[in-house]
Amino acid sequence: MSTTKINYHKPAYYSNRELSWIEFNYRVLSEARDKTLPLLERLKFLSITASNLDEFFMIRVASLKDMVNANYTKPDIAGLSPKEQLDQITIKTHELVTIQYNTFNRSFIPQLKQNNIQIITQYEDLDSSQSNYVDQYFQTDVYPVLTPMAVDSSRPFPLIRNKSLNIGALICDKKSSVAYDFATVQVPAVLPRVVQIPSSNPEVTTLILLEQIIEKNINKLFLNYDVVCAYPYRVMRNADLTIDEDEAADLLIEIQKQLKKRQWGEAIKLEVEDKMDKRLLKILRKELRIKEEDIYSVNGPLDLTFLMKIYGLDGFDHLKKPKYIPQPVKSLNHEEGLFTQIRRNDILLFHPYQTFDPVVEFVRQAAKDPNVLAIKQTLYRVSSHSPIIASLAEAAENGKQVSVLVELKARFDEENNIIWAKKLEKAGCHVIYGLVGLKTHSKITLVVRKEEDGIRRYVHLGTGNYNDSTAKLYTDMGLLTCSAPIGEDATAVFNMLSGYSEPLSWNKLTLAPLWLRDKFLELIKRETLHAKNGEKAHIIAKMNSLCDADIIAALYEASNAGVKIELIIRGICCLKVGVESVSENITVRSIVGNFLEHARIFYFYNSGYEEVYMGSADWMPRNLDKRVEILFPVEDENLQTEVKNILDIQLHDTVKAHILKPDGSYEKVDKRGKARLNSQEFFCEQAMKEAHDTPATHDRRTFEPIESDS
Amino acid sequence: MPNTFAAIDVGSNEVSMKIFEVSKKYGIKELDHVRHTIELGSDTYTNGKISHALVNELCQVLQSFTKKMREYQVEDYTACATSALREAVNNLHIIDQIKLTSKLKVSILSNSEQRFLLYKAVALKEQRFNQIIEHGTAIVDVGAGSIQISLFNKGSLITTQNIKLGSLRIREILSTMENQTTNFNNLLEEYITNDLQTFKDFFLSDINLRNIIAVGDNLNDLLRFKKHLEKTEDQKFHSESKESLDRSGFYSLYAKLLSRNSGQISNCLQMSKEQAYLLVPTAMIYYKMFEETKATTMWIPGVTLTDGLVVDYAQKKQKVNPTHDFTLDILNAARNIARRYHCNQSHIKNVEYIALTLFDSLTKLHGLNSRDRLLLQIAVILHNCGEYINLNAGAMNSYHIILSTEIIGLSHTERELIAYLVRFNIGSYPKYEDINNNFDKDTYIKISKLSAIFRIANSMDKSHKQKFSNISVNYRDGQLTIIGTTLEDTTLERGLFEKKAEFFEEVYGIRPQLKQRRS
Repeated sequence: MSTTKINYHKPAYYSNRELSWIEFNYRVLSEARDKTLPLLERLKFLSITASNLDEFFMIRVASLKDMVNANYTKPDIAGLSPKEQLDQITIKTHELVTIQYNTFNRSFIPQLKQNNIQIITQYEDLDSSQSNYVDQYFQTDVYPVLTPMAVDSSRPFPLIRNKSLNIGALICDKKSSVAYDFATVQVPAVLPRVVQIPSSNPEVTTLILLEQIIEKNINKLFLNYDVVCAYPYRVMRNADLTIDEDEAADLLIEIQKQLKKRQWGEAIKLEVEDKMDKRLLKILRKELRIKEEDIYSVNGPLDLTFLMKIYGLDGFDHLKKPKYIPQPVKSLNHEEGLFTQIRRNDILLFHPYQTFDPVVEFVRQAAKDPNVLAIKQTLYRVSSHSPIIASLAEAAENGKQVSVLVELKARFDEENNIIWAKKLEKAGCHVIYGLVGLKTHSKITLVVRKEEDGIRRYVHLGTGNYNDSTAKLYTDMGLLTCSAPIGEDATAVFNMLSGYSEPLSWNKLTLAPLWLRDKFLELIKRETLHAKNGEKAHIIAKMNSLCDADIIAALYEASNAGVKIELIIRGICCLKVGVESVSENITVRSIVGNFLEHARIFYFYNSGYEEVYMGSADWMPRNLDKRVEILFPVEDENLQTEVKNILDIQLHDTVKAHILKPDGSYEKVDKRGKARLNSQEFFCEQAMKEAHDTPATHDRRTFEPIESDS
Repeated sequence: MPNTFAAIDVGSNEVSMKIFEVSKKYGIKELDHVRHTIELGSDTYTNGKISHALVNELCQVLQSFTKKMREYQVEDYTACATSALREAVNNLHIIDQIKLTSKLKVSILSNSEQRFLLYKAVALKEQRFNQIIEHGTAIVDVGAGSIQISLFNKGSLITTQNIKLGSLRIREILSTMENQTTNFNNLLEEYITNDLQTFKDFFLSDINLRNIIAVGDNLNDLLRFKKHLEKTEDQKFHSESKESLDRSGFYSLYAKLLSRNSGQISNCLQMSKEQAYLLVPTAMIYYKMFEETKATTMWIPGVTLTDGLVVDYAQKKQKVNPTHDFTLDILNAARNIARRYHCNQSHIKNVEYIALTLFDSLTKLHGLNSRDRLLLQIAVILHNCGEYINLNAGAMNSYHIILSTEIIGLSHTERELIAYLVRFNIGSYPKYEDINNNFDKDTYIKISKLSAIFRIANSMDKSHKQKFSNISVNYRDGQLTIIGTTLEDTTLERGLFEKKAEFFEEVYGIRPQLKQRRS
């Protein structure tokens, strides 16, 4: 170890978060290109890379563009100015898009065809009966909902909606036929993008995209004109929702306003087919004021998210992974009430391997239980027909005190959230619409129950949202407990969320934005100290993203002191591995699989007094500084062992794990000499086995007599 | 099932509520604690009243408290306010508005009640309390509006004094001078020293003070500051236990505190600047207490008024047994006042004996409770303290002395009741309409009943010779006979007795007979 103090904040030791994110999308794309996966699964991954990229542009790229427009030049953690970042992002995303379309054209189209799914990407390829069918479909279903718009001296260029797919056309007046005008029509979002049409071979499923149907019939929209050419295009706009909360008297109204405004932000990306007519492209470029590098000319259909629809086609299960059914939780039975079982032991939940039902059931039983006095919950994103919302409303109707903190600022979910928040309010719940300046990202439910020996509190703490739909796709952990210290803290959390002063002290929970950063730094420093004293020191941390400079610097310092650090980070990672005297003891792996890795788990060896935490926060500045997050300990020894095992399995994954290299790229694990282990599959099998191994004796229909051996 | 109880404290810079579970089996258990910072005191101490905006905010907070009370299905509550409301001229209106908006009945505690409650909480929470007060001990309660110093020795209370020197009040008074000095802390110290000097001269001279028990609003912050230093600077402060600090430990903590401005304090403790602002004056008062005495240890039990309220409730409901005899403390405080005015101790002892014997024998007749008995006893103890000023109009002077002397543990109304009892111990008893006071009719009747007993008892030691040191009371078949065993000539007493018996008959509808037995 060198004696001079190392500046762990040096930009050279960090990766840019946007470029790291693009690396993540490459990893998802690699799943789409993984020939060992069933074909439709691969389609799904390609679709995900497309929707990921859309979101990335709308949030991240848009914000960088804002910075450039505002002449903001402050470099990021890795020393890049906004302009430099944008330049590199542009290069990387163009590459990514090229691979997306190569995969689509070279792999998917032929293989789909082999499997009797035909996608018609150009209407010219239709046979005559199909052609008739399509025209008929256009007349009856499509035409009535189209709104064609022409641009001329009296009609200005229309506003093209964000993310909408449109068809641009050049048209000329049949009488004059001198000049041409620009016309556009939106491909209606109310109709399915993928349309199934008859096929001459009944074995084959033939699909055509809606925009092809419209293109084919475009002349019917402009009857007095000749259509010179028509091509689809798609515009992406700056959509980041920034609200000055100090000025917004009523947050709710403000968000509703913002929602309408969102569609009209500055255009930041234009997608067109590469064969688009140059004159048409020129008009679009000029009217949308878009730069050359922000135009993505692709060789295939725009907006590949439609592939998810193909994934959903009936009758092709042989091209998909068998659907996994979340298993019952091994330590829970159906005979006893949940509260009784929680009183006996803390209960660990591991979704989606184990079912989310106990969480839904927790709220449902609380709503019906006459001894329950109050239910309090934070809700961030919930499903559209959430059984939890229904239970909360029922609880309020049953006369219980129900407080719900609804986070209206949850990205892209605002509209949905406002609807059910109002529903809850109507039912008599006390609804808090978020906190000024902070997003409430913590996932906590508190049930206050009056029992024979006094008040007892039951708490659910989780790493994922209270959303029964995503709980089937996201890997998350949860804890059900009635530990008194945690219950007290949970009460204090809700007191703070209702605007009361902070509690005098906390027992077990640590909250962002006030205490969490310090807590993490403290935990890391403690390992550093142990390592410096020559003791064994070990940190394992699993999360979605790591980009907080202070935390990374603390990890570098720990690594340098000899702490073994194993990170399991699905997405962004601004930490660099293998930097001499900085991060030689750090490894980073990313697991990208069928389920979205979402749990946050933190393990500290602590000289043998091991500590395991879980929580809602990533190691990102926004989680630590601008959100309400909760970190909670797993203290039950058995549960601690379970969580440690989960981390251990993930650290030994040889199938879906990608290892971060010193140059910032990721590579799959070198399988040589290692047993094949797909951690997600392992957990599925384990959960099925556990559910199978512990049959509830009461369910058996036959008796088993015990007889003597002799 | 345990009872749930809410205790609400409308304090000078914070409104807070604690929810408790109270049961015989588990004692007192805190369930919830909510706090809201609102500087009512700052308005009162500078403008004399609380502004409209703050009153609205207060009503809103209290309304949200009632929601919380429903959440725990609270069965009973006590809501009380302290000096900020007590001294605000518009306090009655505020209490009315609170009642209208949240249906909560807030009562304004007299200073002595407030301090007594805190002291009760200390006694219950601090197991070593009885042990600590065997030696000279001062409970120093620094509130936002004033400080209260109660001195104990050999296990019981000696005196208690209130000094209008609270942390917020000091800040408010001196804030205008803050810009005129570069060393605000010196200014502060000068101000505090002056006020404490008088107390020292009067009370601290003949007691060997060993312990300081620190209670009050900002103590928890001081403890947090200590923890913060221990954590960030690895500093150790000398102490015997977690809740205490040695003199040297406190001195170094105090030095650390002075070296930071309120901005830095609020930063490192993550508290509002307003709250941080009060920490230095609070600590300085304790520093001065150390300076002026030989105290070696400071105990910080960390109790709040709400703890006192629940202890009071639990004792009333007989859910917890007091570890310390508080009634004795109240009596001791009263006796100390009597001693200060050189009252005739043997006369008091005798009247006390007769009055209480009568009271206890006649419970069926008067239907009063043990609290009323205590009031009667204190009235007896203090009844002739006015003679210290002037032998004529002694009763009237006693009345005035009692009205302006704090007696720990008594409410203002109770003290007034005692004062009236003493004042009308002699002469004709006034009609209800003639009492220039806001007593209700029930209280008037109560005073009459107590007065009737008091008059009889007092008449029986008119000569101050304690002739009736052994009496028995016989109440049967509508006949009340008091039999005194004495060899002395009791003509004087019996003559007076007859006069007083008339009033007794008026009140109780029965005429007591005094009989003398000479064996």
